[in-house]
Formats: sequence, C-alpha cells, structure tokens
Amino acid sequence: MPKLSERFHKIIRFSFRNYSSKTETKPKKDVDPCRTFKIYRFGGILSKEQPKIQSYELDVSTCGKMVLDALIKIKDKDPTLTFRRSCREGICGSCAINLQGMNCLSCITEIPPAKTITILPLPHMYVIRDLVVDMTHFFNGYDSIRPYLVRKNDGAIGKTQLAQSIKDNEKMVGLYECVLCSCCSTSCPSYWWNGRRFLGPATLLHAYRWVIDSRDDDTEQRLYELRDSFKAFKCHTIMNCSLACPKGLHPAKAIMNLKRLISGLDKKPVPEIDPGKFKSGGDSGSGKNKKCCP
Amino acid sequence: MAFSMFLRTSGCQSRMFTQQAMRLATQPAITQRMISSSLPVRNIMKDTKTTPILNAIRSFRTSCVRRSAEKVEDHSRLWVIERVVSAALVPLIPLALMMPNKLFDSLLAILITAHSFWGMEAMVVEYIRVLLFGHVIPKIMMLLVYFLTATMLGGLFYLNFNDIGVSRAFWRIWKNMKSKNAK
Repeated sequence: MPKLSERFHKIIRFSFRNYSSKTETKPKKDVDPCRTFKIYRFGGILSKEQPKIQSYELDVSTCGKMVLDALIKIKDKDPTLTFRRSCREGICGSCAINLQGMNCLSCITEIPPAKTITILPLPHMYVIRDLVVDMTHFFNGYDSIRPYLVRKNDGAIGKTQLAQSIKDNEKMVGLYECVLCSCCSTSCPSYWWNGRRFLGPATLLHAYRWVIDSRDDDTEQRLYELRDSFKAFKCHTIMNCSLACPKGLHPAKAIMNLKRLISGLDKKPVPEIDPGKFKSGGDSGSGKNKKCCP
Repeated sequence: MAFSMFLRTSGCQSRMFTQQAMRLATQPAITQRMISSSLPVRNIMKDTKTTPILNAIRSFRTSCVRRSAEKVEDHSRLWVIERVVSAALVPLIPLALMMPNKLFDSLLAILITAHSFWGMEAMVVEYIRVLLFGHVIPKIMMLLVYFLTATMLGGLFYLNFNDIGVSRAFWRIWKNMKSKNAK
C-alpha cells in the first residue's frame, strides 16, 4: 500500500495531466484491437436459468468506433444476444447500457481503450432478456408528472401560437434535450433503494422543465403534487445523475431549482411576454385570419 | 407513518379504488362510463349515447387534476428547516467551543440532536426497506432512532445543567486525550 503522500501526489499528477487543456498529449499506450467483451446474458424469468457473463472475442478494427457497432458485430456471430437500439445517434435513448460500470448510450460511446470491456444492463432494473430491461415503472413515473402543457381558460389549444421571449426559451435549454434513456435515474442510489416512490432525476428534470416553461399555467398544482417526502425530496444530491447523463445535461441542478420552487424559497418568474399575446379578440376561427396577400 | 402503511394496503392500491377516486376528482371533457363501474348492468346497456370504456383502456384527462383522495403531508417546510439547522450548526459549533456558556450549550444540544435525528431517520427510511426486512424490523429500527434521540437530548441536557456543559466537556476530553498522548 503506497504511502499517503505518494497517493496524494499521484492524484494531483493525474488531475493535472488528464484535465489540463495542454495541446500535447501524453504518450498513449496502444491497446491491441483484439478485445474481450464480457456481456451479461440472461434468458428471462421464464427460462429458469441463472444469469451469466459471456465472453466474446472481437477485433475492434473490423467494426465501427462505437460500442453499438461492436454489439451488432457480436450479434452477427451470436444472434441470440439481445439489446435495444434504434436511432444510432443518441437521440432516441433506446440503447442505454452499463459500460465498465458507468451508464451510457452505446451508440454514441466509443469503445474504451481497455483489453476487457464489460457490458451489463442498467443497474437495479428488472431484466427482460440480456441487456433489455423493463422500463415500465420509469415511464409511469414520467407520465405521473403530466408532461404536457396545461393552459387555463384557453378554449381551443393550438389555434394560435403561444408567445415566449428568447430569454424564457433559453431557460429550457438543458431540459428539453432529455431523451428519457434513464441513464441518470438508474445511476442514482436513491432511485435504486426507493424507486417505487422516488421519481428519479430524469422525471424530476422533466417536472422542472414543465414548471419553468413560461407558457405553462399550472405551476402551482405541479409543485403541489411534488411536495411529499418521497417524490422529489428523496434526492440527497448524490450527483451521480449529472455524471452519467450521456447528453451532458445537469439533472442535479434542475432538481436543486425544483426543490427551491416546491419549498417556496424561489418563485417562478412572470413570463416576459404574455403567452396569449397572439390570441385575437373574438376568435371565430378562420374568418378572422389576417390576410397576408391582397 | 401508520396512515401511509394503510394507504399501501391492497384496498387502497387496487385499480378500482384509484379509478373511482380519479373519476370523482376530475372533470372529464366527455362523460364516460366504465363497464366495471358500480352501476347495475341494465343502466349501462340502456345508455347508447356514450361509448362504454373497457377496463383495459385507461381514461386520461386533459384538465387539471385535483386529487384529494390521498392525504399527503407537505414535506417542503421540514426540508427547509433541516437545511437551516445544518447551516446554523456550521458557525455555532466553533463559536460555542470558543465561548462556553449555558445558552450556546443548550442551543447546541437541541440542534445537534435534531440534526442527528433527521440523519438517522433518513438512514432507516432509505436502507431498512420493507421489501428486504419485512414490516416489523423497520418499525423497530425507527423506535430505536427515537430512543437514541431521546437519550441523546436527555444526556446532553444532563451534561449542560447537572454537569459542566457540552463545550467544557469537549475541552476536558481534548485535554485528557492530549495528555494521554504525551505520556
């Protein structure tokens, strides 16, 4: 066991080298392209067999750079390997896996420069088969926060455009991009232990997204629904979520702002532009449309 | 906590209960009848104006939902108080140690006990889960937490009023440890 001061110096050297923005890079050890992929295999609860880790040998120079490319190449050899994938560009959120112990999207994560690559399903989720997990409870939680615009006294929604200033729109940057991959929620220990009632960082990020949307009128009710001790307040600022997000979002910050709003320490600001600005006086539909050409 | 356990019984959790509660609590845009509702079958068959909704299809509502069926306590005020206590302890501990007096000692005793109680309660609620330990053990652990809290408060106040006080006791132990090291 190295001395404490030696370990301390090692940590300092590591941080300075790896996190400094010097243009010259330290000499990288080239890893042999023949890698071992250790992938979790499970036939499902009806198959009555024990889950196991199966090793696959793959030459990564024969497939694309991303982990999903490797998985597809492995599936060519072993068609029984099962995993989710759709867009292959990190926008659908289907291919979330646990790679080398960290949650990520396999389609946008490069194959790490390691000899052995361990691929497991998302942690603390019921496994349907191999890398496919049951997302039902996750999506139920998301549905429960009413992820849609609620306007009061608006009659027909969709007749006219809702106005929003640029600054109000920028408040939602970093919130609307969430693809519901559940990398953050499944990396949260609080969601592991109390996922039944704690909503998790992804859902809370979306709850915050709808709360601070200047066009939404139901803020009071939304915050009222989150006031119990489990839905939002079981977040203990562990911050695993922001570390895990493959889109680079910051759920922990959104939850911080959400908690401040729920407890009344902050108030949602009044919209800069009235969202109903473009609503004409006595709208009877098509008859009152402004003529754009004479 | 007992009420939350009641809410978790099968009666309160059943689909029927939540469906009925939702029906009573919301103002649906179109009146819908469910085949599995409590009305007699004859009434439903006569009503041809509305489409019967099977139990397999969930109804949804686009208006605001006011669910008064479940009584949920507002935890946000307690959350703020917990943070205020934590923040207050940061300057109070060095201040009380530097200037030992009865007021600071009493304040320290109360705040430290409160902080420890909330911490221990969070640990029990977070880790001693019903799924793993059953229904009895979490309750016993919670009682243990209450017992430890009461003992802590009682002990600290004994120290304050029947003895030298928390801050002076701390320095006594500190000096004792130092002199033990020197020997």
